[in-house]
Amino acid sequence: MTEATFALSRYGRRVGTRAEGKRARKELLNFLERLSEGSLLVVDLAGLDVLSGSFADEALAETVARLAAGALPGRYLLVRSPSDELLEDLESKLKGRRLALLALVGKTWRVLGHLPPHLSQALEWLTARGEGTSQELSETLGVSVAGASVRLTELSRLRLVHRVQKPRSMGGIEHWATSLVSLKKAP
Amino acid sequence: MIYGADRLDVESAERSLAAWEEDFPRPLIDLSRLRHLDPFGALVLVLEARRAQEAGGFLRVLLPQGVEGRALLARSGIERLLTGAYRADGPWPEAPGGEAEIDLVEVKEEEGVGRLVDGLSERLLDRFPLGESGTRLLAQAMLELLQNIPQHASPEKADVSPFGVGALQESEDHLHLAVADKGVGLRGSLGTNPRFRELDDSQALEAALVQGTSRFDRPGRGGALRRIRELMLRNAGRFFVRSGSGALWQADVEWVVSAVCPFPGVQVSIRLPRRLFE
Repeated sequence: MTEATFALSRYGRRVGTRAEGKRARKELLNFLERLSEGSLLVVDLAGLDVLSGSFADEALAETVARLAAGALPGRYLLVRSPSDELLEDLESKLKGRRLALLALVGKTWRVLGHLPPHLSQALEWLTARGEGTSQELSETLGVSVAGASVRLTELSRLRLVHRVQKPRSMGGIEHWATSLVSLKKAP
Repeated sequence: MIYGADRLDVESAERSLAAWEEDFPRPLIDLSRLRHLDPFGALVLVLEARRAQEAGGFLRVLLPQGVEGRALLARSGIERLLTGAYRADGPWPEAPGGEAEIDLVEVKEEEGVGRLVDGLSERLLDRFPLGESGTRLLAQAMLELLQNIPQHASPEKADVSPFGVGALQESEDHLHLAVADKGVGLRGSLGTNPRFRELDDSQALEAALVQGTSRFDRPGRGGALRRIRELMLRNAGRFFVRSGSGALWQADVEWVVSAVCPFPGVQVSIRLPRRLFE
């Protein structure tokens, strides 16, 4: 998976108003659109002092909403922050919209926003392994293969995992899910 | 009616507003005994002047008689926002030099809000190099409160000139931020959504500050005032918001909504402990 970085500090040290957030979202979506399918865009909050709820909602939560609704297939987004404090308003906006976004804080990761426990459990499993199939997930969690497949499909729709098709050794294809991060989870 | 207190601040502004209303649009502003003026008091005075001027009147100002009061008024820097809107019993006192004691900004459009916040924040960081967390809190509050003026104070761009101002002052034990406008108020803003049309001022305050309600149905909108209230709570700050005929006080873990003298718009006071900046 190729990776690119988008630094929010280009908009200032303290961002910002809703109108500024809308402009940032346009640039962010254009940036994502130029990436090839299977790419990950890391939105870097380094250099920011303040990320206001209004800016975060327009620039990031609205972008996540559009990706979850099917825009720009195969592009993934996560946010990297020097502190948890900077993420508080963004998290509140994502919760309000019932959306989720992966965040890297130092050497740990966590989910910002809203993610039901059964999806959270599947995401943790996948991130610990790096990649896996519905069959493997079903064996680990003790759920049906169909149930495991639904979990991975939903995580993929939310753009929290990358799903690819791989040929089976005995013929046919199978779906593999790949984690976007391979770091320790925040306690 | 003459009401001449020795202070014009967030604690005493209600009595002043009630007295001024009696003679509106030519309210008598008796500052003759003035000894204490905070950013909230300064901003309600500025809004009253603008209201009076728009209604064809002006402020009738009795200036402070004492040296201390005259210096206080001079250093407040509010005269530039009152120009043409008052008549006084003498020349407005002039500051003997030095910087204004209250940082005052006028918000005309959303476009300029970021620059205003950056300017105030950088001045704070120069003054309190170790006060990053306090400055961050104030910047966060300023960004949301100042942009609320162009976004919500005149939501239907009707015949309402919201005229929004912000002010910041350092005092012995806290930093005080006030943001005020004379727009449609929280009830007027929420009332543009039919679901909230029946709310009175006190209910609108609770809806915005406790429940995080917005006039927009779209998820992700609203919640800024509630978020600021929560941040003040977490950082031992004091938070006061008045809108129309209602006001909400938040101190420690309690908040209370009460009836106040009707006045247009939204006026907010935030006081953060000075230790957050040192």
